[in-house]
Amino acid sequence: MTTADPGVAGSCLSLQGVEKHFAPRRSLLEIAHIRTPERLEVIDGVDLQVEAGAIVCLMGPNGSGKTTLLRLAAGVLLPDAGRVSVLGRDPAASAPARYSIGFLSSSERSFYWRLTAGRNLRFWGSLQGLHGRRLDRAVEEAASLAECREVLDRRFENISTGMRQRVGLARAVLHGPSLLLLDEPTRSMDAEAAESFYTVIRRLAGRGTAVLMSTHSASEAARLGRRTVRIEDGALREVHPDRIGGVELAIDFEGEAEAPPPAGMSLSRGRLLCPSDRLAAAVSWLEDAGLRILGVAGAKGTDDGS
Amino acid sequence: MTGLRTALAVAGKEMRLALSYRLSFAMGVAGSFLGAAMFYFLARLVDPGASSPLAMYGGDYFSFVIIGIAFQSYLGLSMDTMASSLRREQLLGTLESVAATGTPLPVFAAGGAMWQFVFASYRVVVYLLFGWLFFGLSLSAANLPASLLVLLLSVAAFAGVGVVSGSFILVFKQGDPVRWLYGGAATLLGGVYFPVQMLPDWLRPLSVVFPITHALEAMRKTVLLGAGPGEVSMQLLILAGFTAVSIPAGALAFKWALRRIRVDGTLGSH
Repeated sequence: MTTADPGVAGSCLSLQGVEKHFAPRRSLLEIAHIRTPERLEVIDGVDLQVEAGAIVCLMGPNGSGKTTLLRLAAGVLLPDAGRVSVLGRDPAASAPARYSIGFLSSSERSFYWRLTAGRNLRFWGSLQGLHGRRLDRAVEEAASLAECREVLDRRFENISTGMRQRVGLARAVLHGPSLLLLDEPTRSMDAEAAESFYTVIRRLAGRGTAVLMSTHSASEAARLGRRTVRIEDGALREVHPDRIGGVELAIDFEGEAEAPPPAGMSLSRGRLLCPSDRLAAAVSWLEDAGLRILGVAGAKGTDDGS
Repeated sequence: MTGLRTALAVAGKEMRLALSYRLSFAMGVAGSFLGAAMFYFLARLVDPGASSPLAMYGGDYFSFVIIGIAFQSYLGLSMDTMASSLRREQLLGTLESVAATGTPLPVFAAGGAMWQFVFASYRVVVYLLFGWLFFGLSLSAANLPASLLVLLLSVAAFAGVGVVSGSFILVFKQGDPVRWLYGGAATLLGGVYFPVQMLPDWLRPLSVVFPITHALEAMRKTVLLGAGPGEVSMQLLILAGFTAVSIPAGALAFKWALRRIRVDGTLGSH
């Protein structure tokens, strides 16, 4: 099990020892228990706490489990083991816990394309328990905050991809959630739109909203995330602020590491991750620990070239 | 109250989506007229005196079949609406977002059903209106309170089966055996287009296992012959029995299906 945060009582979002595996489509032999089905490991014992007002960026290569982690936090996916809680309640079992979440899916298809953006927001707001004048006001405020008021009367199918993302953000904040889960929210935005999006996120965090946001962009994480975590091979680890966007090395070794690694470095299944400028210190630590070095490579996905 | 408001919001959304496809909406109305006309001309081939099973429903094939078709659209809907509503959201890609809002999926599906029932009622009225205006359909003997009672009990019995069907759709996405059995086989064996008395002796016993057989018999007797609840008490009792079994079975199946797709992570898959 890896720990991205030691855990804080009263966290807005808390994941403790969460595991999730997916089984590929099973054959008849596997269904009949004649052959053991293959398990696709996605998340393997993850701990994460996100406090009110925090912005945590979640990074990791494609298929590493970022979206799975967000879906677990949103309560639409059940963990195989471990505990997920939002404001102390299991979001999969508690409607109030889910009402306190704003979830921005990475899929544009999560809207009704034949309806206007405004009609969509009104509909999704009513599912969140908003009605009448409260709903009118919430739509107005959310659209202003997400800067998408000018498209409220246009059919969703007729607005640009970047603007759809803004409408998605408006939907996520419509009911004033305590926790925002954002799945690659800026992927279709130009630099200017992304910048105004960062401003909105910072403003929401300033009001006490906890934000967990997945991104592929190290520069985005460096600019926005007061905290960045990285998921890879099912494990979650904290990324030191100075290392986001920098070059990181992965040193594969043989043997069991008994002592914790030096500050700024982390261990993950026979692999020591360290900043490139501290390679000598890392090698020295491995040799002192009696561990055999197998090879050194650049760690994936810590910079996006921007 | 919150559940009702949510269901009304879903019904409103369904209506707006349906009306955004204007051609399809207009064709649905035209289809009702064409269906009524087709069965009117078909009915002229049927000699009332030659068919004794038809005599117990008043002897007129057109009235017999129009009630069968109109009522089947209600029953088919109560069975199909949950599965079709969830399936549509799966295909649109919105089902996972709906679940993420904390909206109970049965409430969401019930909202979809509200609009479907309004639209089905509209089509039934159009059917009956065309039949009355152009093809001599007579409803003067109808016992409306008794017909309404039969309708409500039948819808409840079919809704339970519909929830089981919706559970299959959630997990398997397509290929729903409940729908096949109750939608396809029941049309043949339940007496929609012809009296079940015309089935061969070896096949006739099968027709009694389908609630539509009893629902249609009670509905035709109350609408065409003006029968009261006492005269269709056996059918009402059977429908109540189906309801008592199908509703709890549906609730259990849905609970299992919801857990299964949340474990598998296939809530948004199609």
